Amino acid sequence: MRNKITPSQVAVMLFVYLTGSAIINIPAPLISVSDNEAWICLLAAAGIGLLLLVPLVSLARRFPDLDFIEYGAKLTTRPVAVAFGILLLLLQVHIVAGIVMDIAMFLKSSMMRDTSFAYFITLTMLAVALTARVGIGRFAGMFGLLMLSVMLFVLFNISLASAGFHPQYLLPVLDHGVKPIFHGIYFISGFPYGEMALFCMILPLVRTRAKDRTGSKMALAVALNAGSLLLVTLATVLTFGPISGERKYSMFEMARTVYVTEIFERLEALMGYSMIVASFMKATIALFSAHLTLNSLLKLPRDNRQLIFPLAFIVTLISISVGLRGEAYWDFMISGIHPLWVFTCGIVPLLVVYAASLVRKRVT
Amino acid sequence: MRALLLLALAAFLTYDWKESRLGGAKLRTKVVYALLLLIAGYHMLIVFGILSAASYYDLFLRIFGGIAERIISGLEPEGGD
Repeated sequence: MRNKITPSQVAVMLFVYLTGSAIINIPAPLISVSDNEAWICLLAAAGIGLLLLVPLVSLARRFPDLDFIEYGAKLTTRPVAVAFGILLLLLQVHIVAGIVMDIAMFLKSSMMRDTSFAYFITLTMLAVALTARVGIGRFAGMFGLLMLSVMLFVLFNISLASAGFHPQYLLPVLDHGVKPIFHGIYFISGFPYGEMALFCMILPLVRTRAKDRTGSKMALAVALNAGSLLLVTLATVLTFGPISGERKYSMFEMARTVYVTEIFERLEALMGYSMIVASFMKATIALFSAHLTLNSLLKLPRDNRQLIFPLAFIVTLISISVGLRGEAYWDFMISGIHPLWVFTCGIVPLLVVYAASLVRKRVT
Repeated sequence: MRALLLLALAAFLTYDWKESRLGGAKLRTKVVYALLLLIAGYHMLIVFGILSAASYYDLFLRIFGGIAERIISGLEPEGGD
């Protein structure tokens, strides 16, 4: 299993991870909670994401070959680090299950209404598990190219749909006060920015040299992601106006509005591809991170692959079990519980360990 | 669906036993492997409709649900939409 990547590759991974499913999924729910102030929420949450890079990168720099659990044990104690590791693993399992569930819901609601989502989930997780098994060193290179195709298709879609933009849809702003802004920030700080905490397990795999500027490259990835999400969110508002929040899978719906002289129509197929591929990549990174966490908790070698399949199988079944509860259950899970879950199990442990590193400067 | 899941289970168990040499793995690996399969089995019973019980997400709904509802109701604008 090839498990070493370069600083540029980890920045690409971060961009893929942040943008992956968010570029299709974020606009509608964000607009539904924050109306025309969605762009303000995005900018604020991106700022939070950039701040989250500070503990991530500084801890990785101080302990270059150690993962979160290993340096957490040095800075606090082994039991505390294990507890944090278990919380992180619970979050990672949820993230993978959620992404795969999202792919299944998209396919079922948009294309194959009579097919059980369990088939989509099982087959997607099979692809995710097989890809995670080959190691990040291999799939990191592939993901850069795939993400490039996704971004090109999204930009192509927006450029063709721009003929139907209505600038007046950008107003009014702050119609319901500032609470929608805080609501939007609450939502988007959990998905996708808070999920960056997972990279505490991936950064030890970066092959560092002096003056690598890993932090700058990752900050650029966050900034590019914020720009991409801002672009798709504004495009959604400009296209659909007051009903933007109801048009789930915004880029897919926007592609349906494109009709240029019978040559450029039915572009939703490109958005369907983009959504599935981007979510697949994010799920692979999250599953890989989860397996690293499990190996670290058990003090197994990082390249041990024996636990990937059972972990993926559990995620498959957890994801299917969510589908049985219905869409309203899932909507509340994502919009209400997910940000809290990410904060409690991802961000807080990272910040506690970072605070310990500031206090215990002599530990190496 | 059941056939697909059971086929996937059989396939990866066979692969892990033969190719990943699960038989020769450390004891803690085997113990955790078995534990993961137990949790998977529990969820499989829920998915197949044999068991009506709380799943992974039901657990976290119970933990975070109340707080999440209070946060969201606090963030709703006065008078609703």
